[in-house]
Amino acid sequence: MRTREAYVWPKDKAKLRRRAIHLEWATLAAMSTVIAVLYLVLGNAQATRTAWIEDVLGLLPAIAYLVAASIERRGPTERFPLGLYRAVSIAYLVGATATLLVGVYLLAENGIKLLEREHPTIGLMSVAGHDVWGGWLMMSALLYSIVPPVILGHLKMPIAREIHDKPLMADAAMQKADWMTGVGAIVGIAGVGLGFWWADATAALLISLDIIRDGVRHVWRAMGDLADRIPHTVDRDKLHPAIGAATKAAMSVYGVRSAEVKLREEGHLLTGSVYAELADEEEVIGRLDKVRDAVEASDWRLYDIVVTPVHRGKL
Amino acid sequence: MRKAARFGSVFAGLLLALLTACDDYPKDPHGTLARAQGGTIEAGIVENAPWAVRDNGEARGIEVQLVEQFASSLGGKVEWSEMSGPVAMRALKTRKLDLVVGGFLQTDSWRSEVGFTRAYIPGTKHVMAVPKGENAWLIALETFLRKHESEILDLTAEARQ
Repeated sequence: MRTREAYVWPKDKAKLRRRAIHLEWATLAAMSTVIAVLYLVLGNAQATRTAWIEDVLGLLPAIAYLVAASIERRGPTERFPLGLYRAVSIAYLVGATATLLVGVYLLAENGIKLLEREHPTIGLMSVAGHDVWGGWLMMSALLYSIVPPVILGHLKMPIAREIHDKPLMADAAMQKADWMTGVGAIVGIAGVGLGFWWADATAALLISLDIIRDGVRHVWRAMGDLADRIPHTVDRDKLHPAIGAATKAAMSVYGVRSAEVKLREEGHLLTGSVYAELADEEEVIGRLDKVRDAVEASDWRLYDIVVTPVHRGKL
Repeated sequence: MRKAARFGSVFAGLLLALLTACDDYPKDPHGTLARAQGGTIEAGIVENAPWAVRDNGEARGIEVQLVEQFASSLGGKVEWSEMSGPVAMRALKTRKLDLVVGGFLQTDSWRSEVGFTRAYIPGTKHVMAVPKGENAWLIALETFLRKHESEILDLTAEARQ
């Protein structure tokens, strides 16, 4: 079978892509320290356990991202003649599902706690020979736990937009979930200290709803991408401007009367066909080549475009 | 970002409220400590020598002694009742008792159902049981036990002989 030509990233985008990969490694490293710190302060306490499990599950999108990045790089082979660019879309689905899972877990766990009227019990802990209320330690650890996700999420968003990186966007949503559960747990433990036993579970419950909303939205989009939904942008979920740009580029080629595109997303890339109605039957192959080049040049994401000539009046 | 700002302001507000109300923090949801001060502690004994023993209707044992001292440090007294482990734990869960002693260990399976103090004898896993969530009460007891650590060590050494 014929294999596709490998996609070559434009230099500036490739740089951003490398940066995204570095950010994901940084996420794994930073969140591992968060998980370790929370574990140390955790003891037997239920109150911080939820935040801890949330942070562990929160590693999933980053791991999926890095796996996909290494797979995607391989390019087309004999076994995978179309390349493995879709690995990125699969990573998006994995990351989105993990976010949804975290939300559902938080909802269930804290719903049960409230129904069972679970009173969080937090006693003294010893720090360097001093006895302090464990709640203070937990709040400090949680305060630390929200710093890395806030920074990482903030750095990831603009890159995700620039390089059309949906799994990176899903991971940024997970970071939002990370810091929100951290803040929620701090507010909750502070409330428990004021004698409101329900404060911790209630705060987490409210936050879980926001996380579930994010998760559902991303799962839906990820499934759509894998089912060849019409290409959408990364953040606002609008129709992708490359659709219009490609059509315009095809129409502007000399000798093309009319053109239409049929595109789908393949990870970072957009691929598909252009249907072109030529003005006459001169130099057909040369014109079709020009159409392909013009379309592929109209947006950096457009890759492996097939141009099909159509009869007059069929568009 | 707007959401983050709203979150932050709620958060800052709560912290401020905390700092201004710093004495008697953490609080008990059901006021156990306040009731014990100058009042009566309802305590359960689960027979387990030498920690908690019922002897001719009289409560004895290392932990019984400690709880009596704790009560008098709060200006109150103790009302003891003897019962089996499961009954005592159920009574704690419904807050019919304020405290149960019986030579419990940190690793006992009750630990997820009631509140345990931290291990109060260095080098062992001995704990006392309190109702869940009564955090002021719990840390008052833990603070008392920490203060009397050396006496407790003497008591247990005595009992071992």
